Amino acid sequence: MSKFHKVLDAFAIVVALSASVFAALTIQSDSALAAGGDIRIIAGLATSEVTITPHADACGTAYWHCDEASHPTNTGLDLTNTLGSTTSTYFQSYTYGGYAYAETSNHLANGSKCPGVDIHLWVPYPDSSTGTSVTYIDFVQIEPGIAFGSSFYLASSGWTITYVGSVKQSAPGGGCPWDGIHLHQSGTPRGSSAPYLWTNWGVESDDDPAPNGPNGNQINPTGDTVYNWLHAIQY
Amino acid sequence: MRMRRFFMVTVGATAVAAATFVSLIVSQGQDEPSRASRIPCPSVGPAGQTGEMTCFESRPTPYTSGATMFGPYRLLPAGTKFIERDYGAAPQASDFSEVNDSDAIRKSSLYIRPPLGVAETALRESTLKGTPLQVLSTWELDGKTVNVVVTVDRPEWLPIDVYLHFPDSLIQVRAEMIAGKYAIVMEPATGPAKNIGYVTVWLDGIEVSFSSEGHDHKTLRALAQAIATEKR
Repeated sequence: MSKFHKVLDAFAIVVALSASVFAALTIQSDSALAAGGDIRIIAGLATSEVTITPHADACGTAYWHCDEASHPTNTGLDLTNTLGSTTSTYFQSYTYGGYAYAETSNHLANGSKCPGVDIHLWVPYPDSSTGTSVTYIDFVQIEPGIAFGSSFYLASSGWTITYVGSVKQSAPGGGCPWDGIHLHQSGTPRGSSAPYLWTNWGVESDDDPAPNGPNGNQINPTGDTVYNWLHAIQY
Repeated sequence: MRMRRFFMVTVGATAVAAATFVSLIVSQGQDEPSRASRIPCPSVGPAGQTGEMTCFESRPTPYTSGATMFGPYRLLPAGTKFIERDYGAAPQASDFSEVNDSDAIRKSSLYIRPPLGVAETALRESTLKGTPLQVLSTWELDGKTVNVVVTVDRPEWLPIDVYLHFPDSLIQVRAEMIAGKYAIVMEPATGPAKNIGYVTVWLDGIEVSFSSEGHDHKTLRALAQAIATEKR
């Protein structure tokens, strides 16, 4: 049995034990939940309020853009910390159901000229013994602070939080386009069949109050379930 | 906040599940160098999270020694902390521009014609101060898409750092020779998820990187070999 099989099989046991308890006592949120898994990925900055900055590109809107060399279909946002100078960046997800397996790799490779961390995610669907690759969640324009090739599980419920690095404070150089201090965060869409990776196109329309910054185009990462996630895995 | 109400209701219910989950993760991961460590979570998360939290970290080790050279590549030991590089004066955002004229891109020094039987379906080029920096091509083979990125590597940007993964990482990074050219291959170590990763081949000043969700690494290597052979 391969290591990947062992990993997913062990996880299937955990979920089998926990799912009945979780399902029986959980009151469903307002958002639609898939039968198997529902995992939301929020902005990675260590802050309770994030500003989305414009970045025009043909694939999306004035904010969502798809211009990564190594993941050209990824939908991404440029994010800045509205409330302060904290630059710490985390992979932050919330699990409503299901689980996933994550492995990290270097973003500055395979055609990309910009530093960052790619988080590759598998889900145990349709067969938990084999799993399916579902997306790359990329954190770019950061100084990586996690070992490449390391792995972790997304918890079967609640938050999963993993430190990935700190936002670059100066231009990386070496052929990397850079237009100021920001986190570029993206995900690889997958919409034709389950498992899905959805892009929350509407997040840029969020109108959360912004006491310390301009109104509009801001998100409270742990706020309501409609506007404050960037990408969602459902299966 | 709806999400916060959701946490309050579910926190008790998930405690039992979480305890089981955590114990299995810890017992399973202790002996594996690639596994991120479970660490205590703060009472309030980095983005203001409350309720049930699971926290991990995998702190890399600052580089001291152990790198090996492989052509233009510096292969760094697994677990090495990202090495900040000084590439000299960093270009401004305004120094970069995009070209979308396919006919113009086909005349670029970075353009690579697809092998016979492979269709070219999209082209995009980026330039740095008017000089070609990168050409992104989309090829189609047997109805499946292959992404091809051709990137210039200036002498002052060398060596190219390659961070090797741990021996038990699910995704491995390997140094290979393809048609007599230096190549770096990122692919799953095992298991069925074969359409993950890249084959990147060095063609004396430029890198050509292949990836595909539809084709496996055997096909990507064959494409790299065809291009490398033609450029030899």
